[in-house]
Amino acid sequence: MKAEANMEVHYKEVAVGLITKHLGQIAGRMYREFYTGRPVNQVEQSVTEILIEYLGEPKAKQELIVLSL
Amino acid sequence: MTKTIFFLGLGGYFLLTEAIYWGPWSGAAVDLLRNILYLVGPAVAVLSGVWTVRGFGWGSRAAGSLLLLTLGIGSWFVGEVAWMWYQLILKTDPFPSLADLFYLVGYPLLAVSLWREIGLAGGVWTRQRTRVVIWSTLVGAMLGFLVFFLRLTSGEAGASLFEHSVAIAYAVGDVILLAASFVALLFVREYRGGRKAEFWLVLGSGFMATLVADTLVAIYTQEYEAGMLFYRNVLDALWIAGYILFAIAFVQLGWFLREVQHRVKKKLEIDKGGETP
Repeated sequence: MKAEANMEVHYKEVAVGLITKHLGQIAGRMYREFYTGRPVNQVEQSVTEILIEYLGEPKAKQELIVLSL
Repeated sequence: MTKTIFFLGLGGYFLLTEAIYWGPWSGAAVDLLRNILYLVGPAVAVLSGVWTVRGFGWGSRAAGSLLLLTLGIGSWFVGEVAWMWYQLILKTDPFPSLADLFYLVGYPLLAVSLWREIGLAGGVWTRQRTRVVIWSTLVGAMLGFLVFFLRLTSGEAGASLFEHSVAIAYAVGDVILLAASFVALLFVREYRGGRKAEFWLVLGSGFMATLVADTLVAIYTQEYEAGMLFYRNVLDALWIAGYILFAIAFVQLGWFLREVQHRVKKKLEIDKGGETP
């Protein structure tokens, strides 16, 4: 149970890291707050959507590989 | 101010400038107005760049390359002001002068900005980065020698070594602009379908407009410096178009960032039981 929770925290950190890398610190901080308490599947959907919108689908898929746990 | 009003304003500015340039007016006042209008382009590009960097957050890795690019355009702006000062106030030939120093500083800042941006793209781009630098250095060195040779065999043979060096430095700067245009096209492909591709398409068009103007002024230096209206008007219009395209690219990106932040803010408000958007 604890390992699962740690994994969820790690997943969200990586997702926020990707957003911060490409969309900057302000967006990163806002998404960190937004992802708090949300399930992993919602975080995955959200980060995928925003990266596809910003980077385009092919590049976003390359970047999202780090989220494949 | 909405995005549309800003873009309409830029379009209006360009049309007004062209009307003043090609219109039947002349005299010292018109010349001053022409020069002041010209400076609006780079000033707006710099302010747009600063606004977009703020949208990322000052310390952001993603903003680093844009900050350097903005500083580079800012350096060109200072060069333009200095050029105008030498021509209109001091009534001296601005070449070579402090204005050239500011123009030339802009090119390495652009190069470092691209270097960082390629690093941000990562992966296969890191290898491309080395390739772009090697090719740019080779082409830059060849062009530098060519410019030096052409100057020695032309009417510029009597110029000082310093004047030759400044002219060669401009040729090398144009190679950086050429590399920037090439990298921008590669980025349009890399980020295809995304907002970042739109940014690079417009920014790359700005690089190309500036490159064409720089190349033409190198060919028609005497006509431009003699103030022949056709050459002055066409070249200045190309440089202004370049600055306007930089401003559009920056504002489009800055607007997108704020739109994203606004969307997340609204969702957070809903989470906290605020108003539904």
